[in-house]
Amino acid sequence: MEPLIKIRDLDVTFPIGKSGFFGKPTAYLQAVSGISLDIHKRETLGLVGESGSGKTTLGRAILHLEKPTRGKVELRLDDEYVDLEDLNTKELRKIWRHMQMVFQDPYASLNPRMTVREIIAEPLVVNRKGNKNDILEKVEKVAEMCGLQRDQLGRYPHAFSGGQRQRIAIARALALMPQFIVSDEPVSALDVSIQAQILNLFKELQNKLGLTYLFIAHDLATVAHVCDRVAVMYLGQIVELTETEKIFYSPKHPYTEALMSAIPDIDPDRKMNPVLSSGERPNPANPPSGCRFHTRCRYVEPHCKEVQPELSEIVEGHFVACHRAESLTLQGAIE
Amino acid sequence: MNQDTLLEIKNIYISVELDGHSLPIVEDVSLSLKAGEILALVGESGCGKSVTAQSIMQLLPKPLKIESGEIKMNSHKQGKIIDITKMDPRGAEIRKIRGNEIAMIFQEPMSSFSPLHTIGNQLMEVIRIHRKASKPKAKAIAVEMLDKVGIPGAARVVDQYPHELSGGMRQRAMIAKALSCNPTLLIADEPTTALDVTIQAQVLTLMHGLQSEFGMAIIFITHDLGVVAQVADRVAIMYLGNIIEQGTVREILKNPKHPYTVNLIEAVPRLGRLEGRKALVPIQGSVPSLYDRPVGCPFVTRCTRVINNRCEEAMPRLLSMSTDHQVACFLYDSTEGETS
Ligand SMILES: Nc1ncnc2c1ncn2[C@@H]1O[C@H](COP(=O)(O)OP(=O)(O)OP(=O)(O)O)[C@@H](O)[C@H]1O
Ligand SMILES: Nc1ncnc2c1ncn2[C@@H]1O[C@H](COP(=O)(O)OP(=O)(O)O)[C@@H](O)[C@H]1O
Ligand code: SF4
Ligand code: SF4
Ligand SMILES: [Mg+2]
Ligand SMILES: [Mg+2]
Repeated sequence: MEPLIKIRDLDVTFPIGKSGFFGKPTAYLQAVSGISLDIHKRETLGLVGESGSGKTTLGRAILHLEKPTRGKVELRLDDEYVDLEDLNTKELRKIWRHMQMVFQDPYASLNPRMTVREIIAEPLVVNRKGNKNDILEKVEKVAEMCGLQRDQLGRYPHAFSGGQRQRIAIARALALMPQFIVSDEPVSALDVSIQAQILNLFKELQNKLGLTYLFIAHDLATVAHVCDRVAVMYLGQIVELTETEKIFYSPKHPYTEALMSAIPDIDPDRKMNPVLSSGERPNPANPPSGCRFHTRCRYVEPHCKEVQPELSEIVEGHFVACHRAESLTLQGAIE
Repeated sequence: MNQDTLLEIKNIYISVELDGHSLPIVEDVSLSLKAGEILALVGESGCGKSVTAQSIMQLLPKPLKIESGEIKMNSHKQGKIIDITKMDPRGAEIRKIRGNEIAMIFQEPMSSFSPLHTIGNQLMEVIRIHRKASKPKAKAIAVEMLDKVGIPGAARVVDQYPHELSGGMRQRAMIAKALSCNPTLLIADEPTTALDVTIQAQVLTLMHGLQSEFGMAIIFITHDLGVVAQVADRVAIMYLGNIIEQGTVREILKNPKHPYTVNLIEAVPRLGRLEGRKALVPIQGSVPSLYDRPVGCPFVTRCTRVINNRCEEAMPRLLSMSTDHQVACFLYDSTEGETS
């Protein structure tokens, strides 16, 4: 099957540390570095990795909310691929009907001076999706789908709990009936008892509308629960990508192994045995030579410090960027 | 108070003064902790975990105050039982306890370091006060402590400023600072919530190791049941300012009784369930705000097992189910509850 989204050799570089007000940047930080990835229709692709590894930046770059410095993103629309790079701002706006982002903080991302109805309607109004009545009807429909009552729509965001605000944010993202949604830590700011409501909502909407998700999260158990495939990022690069089961139970990259061994299981009889015992996270502005993980890898060999491993498909559908991927036997999460 | 009990909180009430009204924040909480024990205090945001912890140090911010109850501690250093609630929050007595017998670490490590002084100088200050060490001796101890908490290159880090360290390293440095006074009780308020899983695992392992090495007791505040399962001996579950269930970790996580605890465990995604991936069972509604505290059982607005004419009337008492398992729920209370 043709992928919904094709990402090729994507780089996002930020200038950092300027010398003087008009000065040239003194350094650059590659937040996303050479990422290639296919996202398939109707799948939920998880994106995990430590803070600062580039997950949000990759999500934004896929939508071109952040212009990639290099590489391209193509979206399949009506059996043809549209290269986002070729689009001007106006055309991009049209593309965003098909691609939306839901943010981590349901408090910060809603305009406090708009009613819920206005918040959800805004993208429809901006995109001139019908007359006033059509729009109001659409708003009510999508709000209902997201579990919001009609009599709540006239209220302002502050009157809602965290979980309800996240529903509002999701309803707004869905208003234009996009095909693809990047959800950046959609439940991490929510109370534990509310997270399940939102996770179930994501699943329900996917079944109903055939949505495709890029699901960014740091809680690995949540990722295991909702994702079909998972990509693991380390310092701007994807180091492993495959089906969820394999990522969790038969990882092939030493960093994935470290992540999986650190999951605190809720069963007190399954004590964790974290393998990454030491090692500082390197400065992303100055990543290590060769394999970027070599400063913390317990399987490092001299070769690793010199040559950067490519992300390659070692068995069908299992991509790993490690020189020793095929010879190492790694431990997965506790089964 | 029992000989091996280190801390005993009895029927503590904490309230907040808002627009002339006094609202309860922590209601009738009782907790006890043995020397060397790790107790997890668990609950969703706003349920009163931090406030309870702050009260143990007499560190409650202005509009909050302890209305009644006792916080007794078996002071090893003073060789007697002291009542913290009787102490003036700004007096000399509590200062002898704070950062000495009881140390606290916070979610945001920057808050316990001054940006103006090196990590080493800030550790040495504590060490010199509590161990009466000379300056060079204090520096040596500081390096040793940093090394103990797993900071690579401790001899170099001792001369660095807090902002030069990464989040995980700062967290470790803060633990080192808290431990340099040799506390008998360490209160850790969500010490790993802001950390990545790999770093969280390191800090948890570290705290476990230090607990067995130094034999101190730890109150570990978290909202993550996985963390509880991994580090704690006992756990107290809080909801809206009340402890609704407590006991040994294994008992509470494997044999939960209170509907809230049962639901919470069901609602959390876990790896073991990967096969089949059933839909999670969410808890209906959301945590009421302080202003909407329901009458009767605090969980009554979300509970699926409400007993009519009972749960909305009175607050269920915390009753023992077995030696170390207590629940506050009318489902387990056959006696006629007192009405309030
Ligand atoms: N606008 C910017 N200017 C300079 N650096 C940036 C900018 N945005 C992000 N970065 C840097 O790029 C890297 C990747 O950041 P990003 O926000 O994508 O990480 P993340 O994986 O989403 O982390 P988290 O889990 O903390 O959300 C980080 O080192 C970050 O400091
Ligand atoms: N300084 C304060 N002023 C007013 N209310 C407060 C203050 N500190 C805490 N509270 C309230 O007390 C309750 C418990 O807070 P806290 O102990 O911080 O919760 P948590 O369990 O998340 O640590 C919350 O409802 C909070 O809003
Ligand atoms: S390439 Fe070498 S250093 Fe990198 S992950 Fe593989 S074994 Fe470790
Ligand atoms: S006391 Fe009643 S409302 Fe409260 S948890 Fe028990 S059954 Fe539910
Ligand atoms: Mg991010
Ligand atoms: Mg708190």
